[in-house]
Amino acid sequence: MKKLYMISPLALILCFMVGCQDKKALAELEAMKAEAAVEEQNKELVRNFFEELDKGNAEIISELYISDAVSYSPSGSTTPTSPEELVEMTKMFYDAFPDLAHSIKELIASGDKVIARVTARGTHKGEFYSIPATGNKIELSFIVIVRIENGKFVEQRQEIDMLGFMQQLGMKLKPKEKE
Amino acid sequence: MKKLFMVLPLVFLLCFTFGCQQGEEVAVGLTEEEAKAFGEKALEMWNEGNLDVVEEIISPEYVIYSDPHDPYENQTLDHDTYKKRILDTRTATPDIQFTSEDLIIKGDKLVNRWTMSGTNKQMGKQYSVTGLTIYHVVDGKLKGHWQNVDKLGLYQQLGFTLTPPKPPGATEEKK
Repeated sequence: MKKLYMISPLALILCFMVGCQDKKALAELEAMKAEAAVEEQNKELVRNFFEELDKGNAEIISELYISDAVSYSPSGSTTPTSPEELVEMTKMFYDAFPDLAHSIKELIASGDKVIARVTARGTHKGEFYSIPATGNKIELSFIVIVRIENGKFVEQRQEIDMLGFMQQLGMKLKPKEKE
Repeated sequence: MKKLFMVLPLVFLLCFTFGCQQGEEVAVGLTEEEAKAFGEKALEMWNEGNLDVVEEIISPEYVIYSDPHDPYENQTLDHDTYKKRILDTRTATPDIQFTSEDLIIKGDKLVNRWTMSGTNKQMGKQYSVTGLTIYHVVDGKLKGHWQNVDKLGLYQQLGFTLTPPKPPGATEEKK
């Protein structure tokens, strides 16, 4: 009996230690679940964003981006675009390509960032940056990293195949004339 | 009493064993260390021309899923071809330097936002452009990529300009 009394406190201490380990592991697991939930929400925001754009709702930009969000395209640009400018550019885009549709090929969410790999398709039916309507079907790919905080887009960096896009509108690359 | 003595050590052992389950990866995929290692090795390949690295980190069947204007787009590259692709770039721009601006890992995907700078030998012009690459990681090696690079910026820095399509023909009637 005496020996049992001696061992029990020891057993209790060990159980506490094990219990604490479990709590730490549980807390870590809870944190990971919470992060995974935010990542899923963020992916849904990006999906919804492109869906709304394709419905002709350029104002989704004003809803989703914080007022001083910055957008860099190409990704290392030193002159970021504001949400207001993005709205204007988007309206111009959809005016020139009324059937513009985005197809999300892949969404990767990690922490506060979502990476979207997207293909955009449309028909050149209106003037676009002084290029008169060609009727050409365009298809271009882009990859964009969006940083999202509390359900709002705060920063994005994009690489888009502008060269391919321009060539599909009939533009040609020419070396500079020698002086 | 004897049986108690026999059982208790076993119980303690079990408690310790379960308690010491630390450092397990719950999520399957690349770790940050692996991603950083890939990054450093990749820079060795491209920036220093250390082609031995190719065997270490590149799958023997490397698929360029998407890479507009890349001569090897849609191809599956063996190691020799992959090395040739590096050499093509380093020959055109012998002092090329790639810098990683941001590295993001998730599961079997590694995303790299990068800058490449150097002097194009043929045009004698310096350039600096950016790109975004999504790598596919399989069995600890890079299996392929989807990529967009600022090729328009690159050509413009090399002195090219975009010229509009020919105006609509002489059949225009303007009075």
